[in-house]
Amino acid sequence: MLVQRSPVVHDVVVVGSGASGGMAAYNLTQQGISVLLLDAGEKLDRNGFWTHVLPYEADRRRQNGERAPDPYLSTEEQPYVTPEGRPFRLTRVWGWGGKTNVWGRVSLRMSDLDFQAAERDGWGIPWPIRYADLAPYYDRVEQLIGVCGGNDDSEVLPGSRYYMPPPPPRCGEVLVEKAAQSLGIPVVPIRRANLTRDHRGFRACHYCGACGAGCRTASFFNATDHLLAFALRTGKLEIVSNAVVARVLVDGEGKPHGVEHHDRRSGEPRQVFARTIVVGASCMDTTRILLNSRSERHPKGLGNASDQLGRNYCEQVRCEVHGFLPQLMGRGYTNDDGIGGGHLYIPRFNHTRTDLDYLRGFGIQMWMTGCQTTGTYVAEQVPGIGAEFKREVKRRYPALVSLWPFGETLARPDNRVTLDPERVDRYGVPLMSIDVTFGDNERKMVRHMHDSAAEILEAAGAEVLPFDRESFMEPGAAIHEHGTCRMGADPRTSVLDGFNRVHEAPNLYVVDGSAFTSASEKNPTLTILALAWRASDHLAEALRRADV
Amino acid sequence: MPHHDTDGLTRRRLLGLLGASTVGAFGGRAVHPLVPLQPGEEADGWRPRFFDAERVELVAELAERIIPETDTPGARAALVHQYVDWVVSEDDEEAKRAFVVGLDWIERESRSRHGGGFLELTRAQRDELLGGLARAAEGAEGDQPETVDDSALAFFRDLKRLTIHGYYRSEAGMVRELGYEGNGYLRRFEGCRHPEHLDWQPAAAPGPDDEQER
Repeated sequence: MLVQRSPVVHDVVVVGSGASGGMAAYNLTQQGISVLLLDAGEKLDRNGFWTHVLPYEADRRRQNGERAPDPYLSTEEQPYVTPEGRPFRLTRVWGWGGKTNVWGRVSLRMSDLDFQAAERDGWGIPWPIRYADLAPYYDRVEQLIGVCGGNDDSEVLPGSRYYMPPPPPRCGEVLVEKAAQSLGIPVVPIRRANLTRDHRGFRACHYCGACGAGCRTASFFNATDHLLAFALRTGKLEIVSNAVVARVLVDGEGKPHGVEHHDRRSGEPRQVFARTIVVGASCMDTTRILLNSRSERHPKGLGNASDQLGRNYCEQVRCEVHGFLPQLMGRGYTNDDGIGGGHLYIPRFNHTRTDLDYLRGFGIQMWMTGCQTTGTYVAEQVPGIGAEFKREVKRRYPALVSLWPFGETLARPDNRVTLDPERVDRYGVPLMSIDVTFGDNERKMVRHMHDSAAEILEAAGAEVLPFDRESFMEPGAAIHEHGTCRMGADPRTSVLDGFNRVHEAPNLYVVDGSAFTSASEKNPTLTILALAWRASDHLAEALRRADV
Repeated sequence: MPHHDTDGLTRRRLLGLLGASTVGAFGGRAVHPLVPLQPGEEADGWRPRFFDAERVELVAELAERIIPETDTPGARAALVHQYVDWVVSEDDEEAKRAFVVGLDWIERESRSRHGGGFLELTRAQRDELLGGLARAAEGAEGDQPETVDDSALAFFRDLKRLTIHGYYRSEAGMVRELGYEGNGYLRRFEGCRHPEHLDWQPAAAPGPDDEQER
């Protein structure tokens, strides 16, 4: 097939329009730099979201043959390979805004407990940056996108002056907070990228709790409305949709100079060229692209001189503990929708202990508290049938509380992404093979996660639903993938330098979650946005100095 | 994170309901008052995709026994049988077969115990048969009849779960029974303002001499 080669040499090509690519495109165009942005999908129509479609209406529509907007990429279209007995649940969104269309919106600053984790406990390599390097960017990101939160500040979770007011806690959250505090466990207001005030022309959240269906009013941060729309208005951004990037192209010297992509619909291959390239295709897709960018100068993939590309996968291990609070049983309906997710957060509290049998830590989120669209879940916990069953479901419905711990998993060289040696996708591009197993550290942490969550619920007087303290969700379930293109000071043990540049290819930046040196227990998107802003500032300066 | 499956069955697709739920007062009769005389066709024009008329009625009654009409509509008025028919019609062959086998088990068990099909039993007999199956399936103590094998237990769990989803996703279940008024447009979120919660204190926490570490 004839490859279309663009004759233009762009200043910047950005791959991916989610949080990281979207932020890079926004920041660069704000500075007057022209950007060509490639996204594997199309713009999602916010007006088509089923935000306010209740389940029975949704069921009716589906029976009539309508389908809810579904931004998720199917494994039919793009399979990936996992070894027998080692499942991985990969969630991908190919479309403008990527996963920011449907994300959980938890927006936590990482701290030096995270950036200096390797120095503290000896596992893995140190980050090449410190909190002080990123703090100014956290400030900018929060002011730009709008994050609600409280005035708490700790060595685990640094505070901020820029938060909008957090929504008040629900009854179940009040009780759980008191219980945790009675155990000496701090609880803070959640930090979430839901607007609680009108901001930048967007309406504040109206507390319908249906964020997961996409927000019709763009009242939580998504890259399409909050970054790309502004970038497009500068006139400096060109977006090519349905551009499935296969590899970064290099010149005869091995220097990156373009990107090859296939049209998602026709399969036609195309090449575009640029002085600098920013890859933000989300951790796993980015890693696959770089592994597929093989050449004579980069025989194991671009950025793989260290043999670290694809290795050191890390994320967060998850479990859930649920309960019913007797104080709330039978008390009737209250509107508990709120901002779609917990209004309180339990930051990592194990960091001062010296007697733990595992490294790193976990934070605890709250979801599904009280009277939300949780009737089916509650009913599934109640035995029996008949009028008594029905009464008991109604009695328990307002009383549900759920704690969701997220624990940092350790980076290991053998938890890795590689290319399948035989199988290719519909464009002829080798598939990714994901080989991840949680280890002993995760198993020990998971027990503590369960025990802590249960202890908090018990202190609240809750009937705790049975759980298996050894169980955890499969790798990938947290949808926070990291480590496979990690930053580091030493090119022998890392892929990227302290400004997200590939060590052996300094005009190539990788800005998504793959860059993280460690996973932390904290949701990553705020850090991804800050790193992408900082990296693109660095790129902008390099362009101005004609260093690339 | 927001992937918790509060939206329906994981291995089946979400399916539709035609028409609005209805509230009706039902007596002891097994027949839905809105079912017209012609089998297979309901008053709102609904036609089953998978079950024949007899099985539709069986499913409707099974669901109604699980979630009966009380001061609020039950499964029948919430058209749970339509939901179940739709979900099962979209299932793979193995799941379809298993469900039908389960319905047949119910019929066989009814005949064996009481000499008639499930719909010919008295309300008390229906409740007892299904209630016993529920206790066996949900791990209650007690003797199980020999006829209650693993596939019957699996069928019951499946049936109850389908009934729960069909009912508590319906307007009757969500709104009229549970009182849901959410997914609206609020200028402010009020949060908890109840003194009994805001002033609540947990039982005394462990003192400094007690085992303190968390």
